[in-house]
Amino acid sequence: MARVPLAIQLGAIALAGAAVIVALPSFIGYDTILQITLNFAFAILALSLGFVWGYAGIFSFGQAAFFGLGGYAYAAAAINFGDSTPAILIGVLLPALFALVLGYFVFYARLSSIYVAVITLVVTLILYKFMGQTAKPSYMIGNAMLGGYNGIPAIPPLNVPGRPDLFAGPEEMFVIAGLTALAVYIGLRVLLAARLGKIVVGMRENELRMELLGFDTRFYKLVAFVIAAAIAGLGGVMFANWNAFIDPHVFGLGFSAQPIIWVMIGGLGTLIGPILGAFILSTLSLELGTQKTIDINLILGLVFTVFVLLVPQGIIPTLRKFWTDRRPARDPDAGANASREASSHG
Amino acid sequence: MAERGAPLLETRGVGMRFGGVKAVEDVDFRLEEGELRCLIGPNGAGKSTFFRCLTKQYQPTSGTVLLRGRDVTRAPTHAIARQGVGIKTQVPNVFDGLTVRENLRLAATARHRGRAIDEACDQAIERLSLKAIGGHRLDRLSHGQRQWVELAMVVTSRPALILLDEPTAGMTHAEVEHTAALIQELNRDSALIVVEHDMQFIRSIATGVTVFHQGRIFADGTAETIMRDPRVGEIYLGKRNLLS
Repeated sequence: MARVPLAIQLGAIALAGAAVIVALPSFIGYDTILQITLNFAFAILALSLGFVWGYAGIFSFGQAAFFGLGGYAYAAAAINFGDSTPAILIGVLLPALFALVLGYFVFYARLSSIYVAVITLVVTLILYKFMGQTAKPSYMIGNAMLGGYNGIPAIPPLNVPGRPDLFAGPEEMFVIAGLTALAVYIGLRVLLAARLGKIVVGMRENELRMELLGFDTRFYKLVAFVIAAAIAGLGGVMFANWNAFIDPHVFGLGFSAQPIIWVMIGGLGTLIGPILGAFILSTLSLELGTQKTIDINLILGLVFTVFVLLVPQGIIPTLRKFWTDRRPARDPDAGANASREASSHG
Repeated sequence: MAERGAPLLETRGVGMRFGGVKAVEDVDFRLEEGELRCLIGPNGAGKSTFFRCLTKQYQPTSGTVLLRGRDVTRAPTHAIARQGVGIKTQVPNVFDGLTVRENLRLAATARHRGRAIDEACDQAIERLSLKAIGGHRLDRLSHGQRQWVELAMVVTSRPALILLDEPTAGMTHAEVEHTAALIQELNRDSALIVVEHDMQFIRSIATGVTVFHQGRIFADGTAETIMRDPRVGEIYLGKRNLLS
């Protein structure tokens, strides 16, 4: 199999993906449109963790916090401005800024990865508690009431820039969320092929060597962390739009654990894996939610346990391994390429 | 701010304590441009600790480190590397999942951009005779080859000073000979400090030797004089003469 240049590969994915996303709403039901729109928002969150954990090697338990901050920031800004365009920007920038400050202290103090995980988790839970006690009327951001555990209702939907009267309905929202997820995927593929991506992966593989070569690993970790937070924030913006509502449960322990499970089941160290994981588990929990016999978390926990025991690498790496193991028998030329491909797939 | 005529590397009163243990104490050390120096000493003499004080894997607890007259005592590891110091650790620190060429490309990314990256890789491959294994993954290479790849990674930045911690550890006789030749090749452009145990190896690269003992510099001289020095033989192996 000849190796296709990255630009052509990504161009084809972008075109095919965009065509499917734009066409799909005409063929599926209203419920499915809503469900997949939510999956897209979750897929963006999963991609952010797939990047920062799978490629930069930073185990962030706080991606849900950035997602939640993005959602809250969008909600407050959209309610105040009445126009979603600056609100999207704020929904991305606020989590990025928050990550910049948090990451500065964490990485420049050279905390080991286990402490990074603990601190990001604790910060998430602090946000949960904090947002939960904002029911008092004094917690107003302009016209937006934070509302404590009741959350912020009636978040304005996305609108055409400058025209708040032209806003996105469920079908448009589906397309916007889908294209955003696709753009994030392509953007990350490009980023990983560029200098920054190589450095970040080198850091994951051997941090000391990178330092000895003259790379300031603290700085590059911070950059990766901030990028991932911005992406998670964008996912939160999509989520707040889908729901028209946001409450502190996005900072809860249960929600924070979800992206980690998506990435593990889909495949750590891939980008398509986290998307797949988010789609499968988010759909599964919705379908299971319609039946009343067994608690959903029990089944999700079982799924997770089975995966950790039987498919520890996740779906995508396992499929890839299965594929490369099979190929030499059919294609005598494959052996020479196998090692190159093993190190270059995205 | 670099002083004119300052030595390439100088330490003044460098010390490193771990709790109550003084691993390195009051070391004054000088290395001129282009010099090749071996650090020897018995186990626990402090040579590896001193090495790590130079690379900032340890932060010395006292004294100053000067690089071309510039004080780098508080500079972190990556900043030392950026000032033209190439560092090779005792256990090879390489990227196992990547090929030799990909390893070198990543190393060259630290200091070069665009076409210069490939030029630096080609040059390093040429100088360390790695052409035959350029496409191999690092986890499929022998211990000796991995060490040479790491040397090549160090060379891509064209360092003024190369620090090598026991480059021949675990190598076969033939590999040691090849490494000695490589070190002499590297010495054409760079000064080197080599921490080493193998006396045969030190003699074959015919170099200045600094002997460490109990955390201090014990003796300085050429390989020949050091090996004939009965005091050195005594601390080193309990022998009168290292050549016997």
